[in-house]
Amino acid sequence: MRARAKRRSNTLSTLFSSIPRSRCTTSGKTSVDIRSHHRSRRCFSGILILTLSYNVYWQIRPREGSQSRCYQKLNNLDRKMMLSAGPQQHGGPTQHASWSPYDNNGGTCVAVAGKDYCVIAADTRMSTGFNILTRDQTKVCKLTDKCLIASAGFRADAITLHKTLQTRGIMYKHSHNKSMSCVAMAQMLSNTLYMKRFFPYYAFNLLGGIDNEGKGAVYTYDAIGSYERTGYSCQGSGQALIMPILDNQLKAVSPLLVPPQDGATPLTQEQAVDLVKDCFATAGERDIYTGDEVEIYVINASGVHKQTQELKLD
Amino acid sequence: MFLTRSEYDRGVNTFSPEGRLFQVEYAIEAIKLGSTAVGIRTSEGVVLAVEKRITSPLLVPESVEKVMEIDEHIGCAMSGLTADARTLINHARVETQNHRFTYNEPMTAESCTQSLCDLALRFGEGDDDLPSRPFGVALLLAGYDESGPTLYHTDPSGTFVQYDAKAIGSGSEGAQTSLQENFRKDMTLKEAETLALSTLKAVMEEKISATNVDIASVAPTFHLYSVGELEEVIGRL
Repeated sequence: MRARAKRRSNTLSTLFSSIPRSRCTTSGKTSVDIRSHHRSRRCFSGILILTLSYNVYWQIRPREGSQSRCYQKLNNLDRKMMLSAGPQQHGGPTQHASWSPYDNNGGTCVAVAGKDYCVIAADTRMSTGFNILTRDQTKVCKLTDKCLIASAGFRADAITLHKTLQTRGIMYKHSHNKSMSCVAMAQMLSNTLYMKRFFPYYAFNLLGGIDNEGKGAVYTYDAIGSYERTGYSCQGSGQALIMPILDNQLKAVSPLLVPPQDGATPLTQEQAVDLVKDCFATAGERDIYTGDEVEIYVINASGVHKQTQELKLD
Repeated sequence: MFLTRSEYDRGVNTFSPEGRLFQVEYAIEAIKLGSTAVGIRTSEGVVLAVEKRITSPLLVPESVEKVMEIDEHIGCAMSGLTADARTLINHARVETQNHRFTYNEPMTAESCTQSLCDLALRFGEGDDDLPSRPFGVALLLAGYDESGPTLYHTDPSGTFVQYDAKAIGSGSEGAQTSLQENFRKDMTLKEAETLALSTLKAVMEEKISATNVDIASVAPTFHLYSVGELEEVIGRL
């Protein structure tokens, strides 16, 4: 069949149809055949084919004995792409192509809103790579009497963001003679994040509290300020593990319904706290960035109440 | 002391030895030349009524605009130099919209008044965007926010005070006395409309008609009365 294809045309479509087949084969011989088959075509289709056959090399590399050649190619490429991290030979300014202004310190935040309460929780582990930097760094910050924020992601950015929001909250109180509502804080957080649209705070935020009507509110954000009021949400390294549990236990209300439905969950405060504890215990089993301890804050008419639960230390 | 009063009239931000800012005081005097405006607060909402001086039969009455909307829930009546008021109202409109943008909530009437009064005192600073003299206008701000209906009075000195009922402009003295005698805390909005117009009628030189007065209410949103609605209120007098 390959021979027929070869005869038929030199077009790219033929090439595409033949490559996946060769990938599927297990014998090294076939792969080598394909390689020579590609080489014979280079003169016809120029650079594109060259690139494609390079890709084929890359894919079959572990199976056959041509590693040295492939590795060499890759290493050359790496060397070209990455500037030396050490001092430059010619006395120019030192360049660090691999340096990043961001880090990811991991961690998970969960929030659940009820009829007249809001639970917002986050673990206290702060990591970088495979290292745990500390086991007791809080991710939650009280912004007003009725509004808390929890942020995962880059700790330094989250701290700065929390500080900004706290200051803005105090300024608001001074100029308007009232405490900032959760709804107002939610909009302001969105604007604050969007103001840094092109050098964002690397923080994934959850805002929880009690709204003007006394109902529980959870606002969930992306790093550049897109936000939504929901009944529950999860952010951070354990998001992929916890969100399905929450979805399963507390079916989300569609935001498209008209008139808009209240997203608050039907759980009692105690049930919500238990659910949050279960979520963290589960995430702590699988996610290396979630663990040590979880701080759970409950906001209701009587104020803000904190409790903690131990998580695995490994 | 050989300095005369007139030497302190020149710098708008210069205190006289007696501790007075003459330009500000003169600006307050300018308001007493303006047309009369009345504001009354009830538990249902706030009523604003203004006199429009139609100086010529050829003048188009609709072009005299002395009650304006600042935001959905804040209205404003003016007396004095109406051109100055437009600058202030534009500022208030920007502030209220900024507040909505930033906090996703309406600005309170008090905060709006405060921001207007902040601007009222920023004259003579040499900034190109700011006026070189005090604003020669007094405003009555009617608002309806989480604290209910509110009525504020501002003057060129940047002072603002809350009132149950207030009159400004040339007929303000007589009108204020009349309001003091007839205002009750338990008034309905309808009664307030009638009181506002009858107060105006008493101090106006011309005969009151649907063309030479304007009424607006904020209860809880701003509404400028149409000619039909005006005639209905005038009919009740």
